[in-house]
Amino acid sequence: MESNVKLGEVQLEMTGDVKTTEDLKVLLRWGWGAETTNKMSFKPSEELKVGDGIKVTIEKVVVIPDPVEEKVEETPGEAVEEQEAVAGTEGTVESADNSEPVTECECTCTCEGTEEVEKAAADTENTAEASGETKTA
Amino acid sequence: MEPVTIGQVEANMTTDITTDEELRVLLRIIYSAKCTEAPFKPAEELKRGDKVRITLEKVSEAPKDEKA
Repeated sequence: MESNVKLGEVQLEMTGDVKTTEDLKVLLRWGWGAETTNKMSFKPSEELKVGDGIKVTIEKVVVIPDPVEEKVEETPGEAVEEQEAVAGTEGTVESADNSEPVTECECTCTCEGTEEVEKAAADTENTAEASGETKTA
Repeated sequence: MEPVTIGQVEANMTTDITTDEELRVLLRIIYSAKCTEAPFKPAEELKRGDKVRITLEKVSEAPKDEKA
């Protein structure tokens, strides 16, 4: 991920024409004229004429490392220990959930589940009665 | 006129610059300067190797001659 920090903005006026086929060099100079960056040049998307006003925005590009990737880059031993710790916690939670009876849950699924169980029991009884009737008949 | 992006370039710093130092922007074709140098003081310190991005926009056009 990238984050841009605006360092500055300047407005300048062209003193010469520039065609779209020409390589326009951008220089960041310091002191008596020392260049502070490696070469930057580009072909302008539009022709520039003398007197054109140009706005130049200078930004610092900061690369923010992805936290997930950063963890992977850590020493493998530590990463494994962390994963094991997380897995252990998850296991405890799951076992706690499983130990509780389903009927105590207050969500809708439980009610449906209870109904289903009741329906199934009723069906079994009906079937038994029916089979009994058949036998007697 | 609406600003038109003319181009964007990226480069790495080859030297350290502090916020109290002045940098100047210059546009050139080969060795021929195409604008006057425009100075600014960076809002943040720059270190050698830092990546900088420079965006150029045309914000105004030169007044046209109305001879005809």
